[in-house]
Amino acid sequence: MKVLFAVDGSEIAEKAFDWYLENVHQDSNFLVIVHGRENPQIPTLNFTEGAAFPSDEITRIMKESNQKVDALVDKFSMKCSEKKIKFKVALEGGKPSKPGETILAVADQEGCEMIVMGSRGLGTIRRTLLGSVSDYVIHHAKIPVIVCPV
Amino acid sequence: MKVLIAVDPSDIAEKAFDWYFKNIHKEGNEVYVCHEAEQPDLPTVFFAGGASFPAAEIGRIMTDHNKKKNELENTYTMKCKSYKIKHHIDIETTQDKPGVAICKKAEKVHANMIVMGTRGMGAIRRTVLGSVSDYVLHHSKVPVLICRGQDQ
Repeated sequence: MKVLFAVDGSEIAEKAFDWYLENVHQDSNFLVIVHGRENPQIPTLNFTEGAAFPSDEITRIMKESNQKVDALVDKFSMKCSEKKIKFKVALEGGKPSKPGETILAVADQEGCEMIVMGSRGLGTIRRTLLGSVSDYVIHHAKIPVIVCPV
Repeated sequence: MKVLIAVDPSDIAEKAFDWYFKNIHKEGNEVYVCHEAEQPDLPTVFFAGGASFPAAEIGRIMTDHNKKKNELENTYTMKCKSYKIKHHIDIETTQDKPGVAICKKAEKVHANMIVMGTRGMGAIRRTVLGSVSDYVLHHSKVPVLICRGQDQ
């Protein structure tokens, strides 16, 4: 069975992953790991003072962002390789503000039969029990979804 | 792993159960099939007109209620046996709302995961996620598998 695993840089995602591997994963499962990469905030250009294009700043931000994503990909790739799990990583540049849609689009594309994700991620509102992305996916997915709480 | 599967008499619940068994179940998993039935509405007694106690009516309602519970119990007992799953079947009537009762049950049996369908027998058929599944999703302390039927 093809399983889509939605991750971000949070601990919750990592714990959900470990839980899945220990309790649900079957050897014949193929994991599609999805990270909806968000385009980092790039400083807007102020033309008022005729300021120079902040190219250095932008380069630095992009580099940092890419490093974070690479670190994330490496972390999960290593976990999978260690346990000899068949997997692939899907880094979608999709609509950065709509990770929920991205997750479902990839699930569709890859023909996944189940989605696994944490209940919350790195989002700012820490008090919520169910983050907006998990909420979106639960309500719109056409396949079974496992939501792992904090 | 202990898995709590919350069911009701609907098709969706049955499909969720079958899907769980086919794709997620591992030998050694202990399955707790539970149904938290709400106390049926019993006719209130009107003393205004000196009406007699509607014993027959009440008897009928309770018999019906118990009959449905038994049918549910039989259905799932048979399924578990035919799939050769280590199981416990708990079909109960509760004063709590079903969502609350399910979460309590999960804690009581130390379930490691809850499995349930998206909707059940509820009246509002258009909803994507029924109120019970919604409640459990928001309040469970353990992972919840929401099984959307293939035909939904």
